[in-house]
Amino acid sequence: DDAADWNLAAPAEFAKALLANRLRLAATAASPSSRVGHVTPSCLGGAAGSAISVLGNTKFACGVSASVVELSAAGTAAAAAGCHPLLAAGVVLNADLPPVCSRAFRPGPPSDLAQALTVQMSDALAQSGCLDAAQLTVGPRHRLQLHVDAVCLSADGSLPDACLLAVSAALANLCLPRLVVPADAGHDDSNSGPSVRSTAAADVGVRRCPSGEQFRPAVLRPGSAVICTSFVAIDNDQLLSVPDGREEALPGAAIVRVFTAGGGDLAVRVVSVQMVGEAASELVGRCCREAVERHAACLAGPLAR
Amino acid sequence: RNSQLPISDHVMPLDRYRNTALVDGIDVRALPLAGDCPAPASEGKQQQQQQQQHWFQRRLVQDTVGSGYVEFGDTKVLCSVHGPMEPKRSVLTDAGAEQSRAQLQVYYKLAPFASHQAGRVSYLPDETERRAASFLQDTLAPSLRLDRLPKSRIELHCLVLEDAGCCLATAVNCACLALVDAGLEMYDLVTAATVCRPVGATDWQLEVGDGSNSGGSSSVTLAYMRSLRQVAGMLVEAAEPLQPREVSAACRICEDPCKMTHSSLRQFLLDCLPADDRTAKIA
Repeated sequence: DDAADWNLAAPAEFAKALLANRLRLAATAASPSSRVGHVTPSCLGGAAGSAISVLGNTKFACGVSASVVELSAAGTAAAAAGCHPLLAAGVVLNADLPPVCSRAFRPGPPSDLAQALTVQMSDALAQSGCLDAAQLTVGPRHRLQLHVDAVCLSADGSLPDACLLAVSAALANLCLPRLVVPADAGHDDSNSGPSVRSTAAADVGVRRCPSGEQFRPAVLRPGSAVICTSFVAIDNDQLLSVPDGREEALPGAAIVRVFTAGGGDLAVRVVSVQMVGEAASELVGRCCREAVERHAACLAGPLAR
Repeated sequence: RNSQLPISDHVMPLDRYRNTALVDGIDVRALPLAGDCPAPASEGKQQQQQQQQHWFQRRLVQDTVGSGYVEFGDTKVLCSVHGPMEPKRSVLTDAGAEQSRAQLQVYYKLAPFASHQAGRVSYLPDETERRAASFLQDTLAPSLRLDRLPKSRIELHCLVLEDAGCCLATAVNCACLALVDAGLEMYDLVTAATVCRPVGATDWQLEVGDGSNSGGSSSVTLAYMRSLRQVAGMLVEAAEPLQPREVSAACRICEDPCKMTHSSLRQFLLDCLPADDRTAKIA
């Protein structure tokens, strides 16, 4: 009770006293496995691929929906010009922070943090080299388009970590009905530019296999994943991995987020490093090494297939 | 000069804050089967006759006053409560009335991947979601002791992760769990059930959460307070007008599932109490 009162009256001093004694109150500090996280795959029946990730008190639910698009050659080039590489590859990713996950988020259009999270996720996936866009091809004139929606259920720090964990697991568990492209499907409309196609099913020409057979497109290369590991650097001395919301808000702390990708036949590598605040280069190097180790632990643990 | 600008009659709400697809597509679930063969009769799940159980969980959301999570079959709903906070000022409400009781505001949203039907749910709220939020607000407000929290506002946020049928009733049960977890005083627990009548049928069937009998031509959702023996709310959705006796029959069918859910929820809340407090009687 005294500790709770002290935390309420002077949270910054309470946090400093804890750190001075090498103590952490974050749920992710309990054990190394809690810093890796836990994933429940294929748990949402409304989506073709789904996963719920739990990282400490932060929880994300990710669902993947698939649609078939008919693209003409001119339409593909014109539509892809100037847009994000992930969109050009046929993956539409959105991260949402609804009011249900925290009092900090209000109903209405997505907050700045949600939009930034979406951009972070999209850039990490696009730069990872783990996406295999060829798996989305359906016949010569059609392609699958994936809508990846990550919704936060509980926000308590390390949002990109939990979000990417759920996205990687959902893409790895994608299961779609087998599609058949009849020989006379599609139209020779190479002269037409990008346009909104009619939503009538007959125009697309693609059919589902009547036997109910399903297939699993390896959108993420087998055994690979894209992971984010967050760190909080305090006074260039202490490094807290996978911090919670209170640790991320510590005054004078620098937040370092390391995005790693790889696994299976691909070597695990650091894709990008994002930093808020100032941290010594040695500390950033240590963050990268620990992030690569955590990536391997995630592939062996919650993302093992 | 502005008056000369053309005004489109078909203005779709644009979502400028999120990524949107370059080209519109057709959901794979909406594609017809190859060979012009009709959809097999067993494409949907067979109707389950056994009673489905609710699965409750609380305190899932960290940064809220109270939260609840309910699974009924495959339907999954998460609710969280924020507040009490400063009330919203409105020129339409009486200043005295607005200060003497708390305001309850309910937000209801389906996740984009929640629907078992073909197609994604838009991020922008539609008419169905607004109607569900209004029903939740009208149903839960009478059961709360709002007079105990004057000059304040309580927000209830409801997120449906998977809608496999009986979604609105599950949302009522989840919202009640979240309100209790938030420590708000209530006259009684509010539980709900839904009955539906498929096209061409004459009898009402209890809607289950496995998608087997949802989407009928008519449905009645009843919210009931068992201890007070009062109906907290009722929502009738029908393509054609219903006779009063049909609605009464539907309500009678809903009553027993509501009572069973009330018992389950009450037992779950008792089990959550510390062992020393379990001997206290709850009205």
